Amino acid sequence: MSVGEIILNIIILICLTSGLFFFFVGVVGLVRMPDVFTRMHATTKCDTMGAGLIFLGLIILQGMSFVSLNILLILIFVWLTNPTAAHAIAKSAYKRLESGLEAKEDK
Amino acid sequence: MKKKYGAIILFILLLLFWFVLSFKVNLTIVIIGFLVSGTVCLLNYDMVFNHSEATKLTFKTIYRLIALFFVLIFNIAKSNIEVAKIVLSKKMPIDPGFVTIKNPLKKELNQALFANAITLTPGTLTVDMNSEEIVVHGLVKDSVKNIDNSSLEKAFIALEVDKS
Repeated sequence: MSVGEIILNIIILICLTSGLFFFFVGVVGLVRMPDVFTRMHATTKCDTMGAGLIFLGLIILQGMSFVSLNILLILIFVWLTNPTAAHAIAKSAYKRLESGLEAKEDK
Repeated sequence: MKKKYGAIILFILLLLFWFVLSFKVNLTIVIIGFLVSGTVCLLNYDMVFNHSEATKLTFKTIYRLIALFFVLIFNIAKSNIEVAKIVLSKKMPIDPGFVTIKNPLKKELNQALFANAITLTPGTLTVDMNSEEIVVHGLVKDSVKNIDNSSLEKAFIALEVDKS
């Protein structure tokens, strides 16, 4: 292995492990947070960063090829659908809160 | 007429996407691609966004879009680390609550993009919006107030001003 390859491998490792770290933070947040909205903050958001870093690492590993293009497309779709789904869940929870259905369950 | 134009663009995009996903090109794949993307266009062409809403592509707007992209990535990274710090700290110093902020944008397409950008940056979550205000749920309430005059909002406003 040449020096360049070793440096490249180290960069890939850093990307993958920090991606995993953000997923881990998301799961810890899901367990620790008190209610629906704060849980959504922890999980849906850390996924944007975690998935982004893991896919970035895979793209560097694959190099310039057709597969990298597909990975990039997957990344774009994850980043498009993630806020949309989060917004749908948040809006339904907000409507429930406004109509007073949830008030008794909290206490 | 404008809608037909949008439908043709949608068809070409779908076909391109199909060919990128299916690695090789042969007769079956081409026929399936044409059939499926044609059907999708036929069913959805009235949902294609309004052509007058789109930002015109000039060199200036392309530059601003790229700037917006980098601002968004920077914001995502910065606030992700902040949320990670909050989650992993022992006491969890959170102060959740709803904050209503003014809607700075006029075009519907830009409003949708702005709301999704707010949701994408961690610590803030768009709950509800209309043409005048956006209801945002914040993990820490003060961080929502920072959206006003933030670099993200400025990048969006710059995108809007350029057209008129």
